[in-house]
Amino acid sequence: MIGNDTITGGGLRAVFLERRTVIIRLLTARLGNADEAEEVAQDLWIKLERNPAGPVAEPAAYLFKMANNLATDRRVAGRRGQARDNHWVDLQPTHAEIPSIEREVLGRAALARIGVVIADMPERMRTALMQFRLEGLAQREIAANLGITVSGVEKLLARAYCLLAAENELGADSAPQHRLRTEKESEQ
Amino acid sequence: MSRDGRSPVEEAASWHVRATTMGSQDWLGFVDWLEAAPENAAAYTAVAELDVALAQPLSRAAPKQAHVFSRPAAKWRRGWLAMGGLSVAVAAVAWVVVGHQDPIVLDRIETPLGKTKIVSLSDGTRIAMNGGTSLIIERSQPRSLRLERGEAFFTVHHDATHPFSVTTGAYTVVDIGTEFNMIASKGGLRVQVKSGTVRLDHQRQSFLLAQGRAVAVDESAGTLTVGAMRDVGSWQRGELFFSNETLPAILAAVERQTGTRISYAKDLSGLVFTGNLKLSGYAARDVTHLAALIGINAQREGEDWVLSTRR
Repeated sequence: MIGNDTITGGGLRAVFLERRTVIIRLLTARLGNADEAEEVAQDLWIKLERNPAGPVAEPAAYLFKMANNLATDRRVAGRRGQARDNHWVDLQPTHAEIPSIEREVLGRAALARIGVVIADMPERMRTALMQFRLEGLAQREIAANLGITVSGVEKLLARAYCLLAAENELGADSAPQHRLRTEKESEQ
Repeated sequence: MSRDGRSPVEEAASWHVRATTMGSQDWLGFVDWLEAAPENAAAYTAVAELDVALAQPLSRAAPKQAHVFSRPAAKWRRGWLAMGGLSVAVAAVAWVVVGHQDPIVLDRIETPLGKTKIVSLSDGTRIAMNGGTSLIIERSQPRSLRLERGEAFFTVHHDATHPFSVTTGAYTVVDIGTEFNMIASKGGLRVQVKSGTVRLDHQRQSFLLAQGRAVAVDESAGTLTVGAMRDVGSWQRGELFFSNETLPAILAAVERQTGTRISYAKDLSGLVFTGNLKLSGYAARDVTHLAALIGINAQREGEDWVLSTRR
């Protein structure tokens, strides 16, 4: 077992082979499809060969994170391909604009609504989200800035993403029914 | 639903936030969670894709120098008191709840079936109350109303720092620059947005509802249905639009406008109707017109009307 020692490119590939089963499980769960999972795992392998990373403290966690990010990229790219068929086709940027990945994922109207949600967030929540997502600060640092605990930051951020996800889901016509959590269920 | 009662989206958000710092054991837990239910993976995808799109709107949100610990709400309350509270243009019943530090004065504004009413708040917010409606306003907090029953259309004077909210039962609708219509009934709630956006809060969940959209909460079925809605608040001109609407909801809408009680035979309870109805305000004409549209029989019994299957 390759432990927690700092490790570089060639060593990462060894960890990849060791953890391949879990990586495939992660990708299959994310993508809903074993074939795509194999393809993305292959991409990950190629990335490791071409761009050997600098020293990595937690190699397995590093690989899982890379795989997870690649799965998200893959989903976004898949969406881009479908955009033509989507109901928000008229919201897509014209070819004169440089299409940013954000627009292609969400469309202009959705982005505007998300802007409203962000503007409406309590100030601490918005500050935490900005420092986390835009400035890339660690939760430790955000906690120190806001004078709260790390788990407080985690909760604040999770709540922020929930609000945004709820808005995003509501904006889409494809999700007509949501189950409400009743008192009874939340007690379980 | 997880053991600790969090929804998949809440759990997904939590995983997503932790992903940057998770160790390999956490990642194994994450894979187990993803595999545990297809809803989990879908919720995670929704959160992760949203995150990709977040940079642009976030960088636009003005990063005002944060007064993280300031409490504007307290100041606002004083501001309202200084203005002399509420100027409601209608007769209202007021009562005082004692035993608190400050007395809480509540005004109840009611309309009988068949009578509508316009209420103007001192901040410029206008409320059109349909018949059979009851609203409660706390004098010191006139921007936090309670809709006890019935239907009202709100044209809100928006103030981002002092949100306007309407509560019914366990649900609160918070305005984000809006005209919206709200119907409170036994075991249910409907919110329809004409312009702007509102937020519907229930326990720890929030849903955002944008212009032209409507939400129907059915407590007995435990569902929240989201759909499109045009011509929100058209009841103010006596026009009702129904889309796959159930008979009780249709009759409640007609009752509010005409002031007449309408009951129906049991075998009609499963009926749904799609169409529009222009009301005259005269019960005899409106109820028979409705019955003809749906293809059922309407019969007068004293002051009330009874609907039954056509023979």
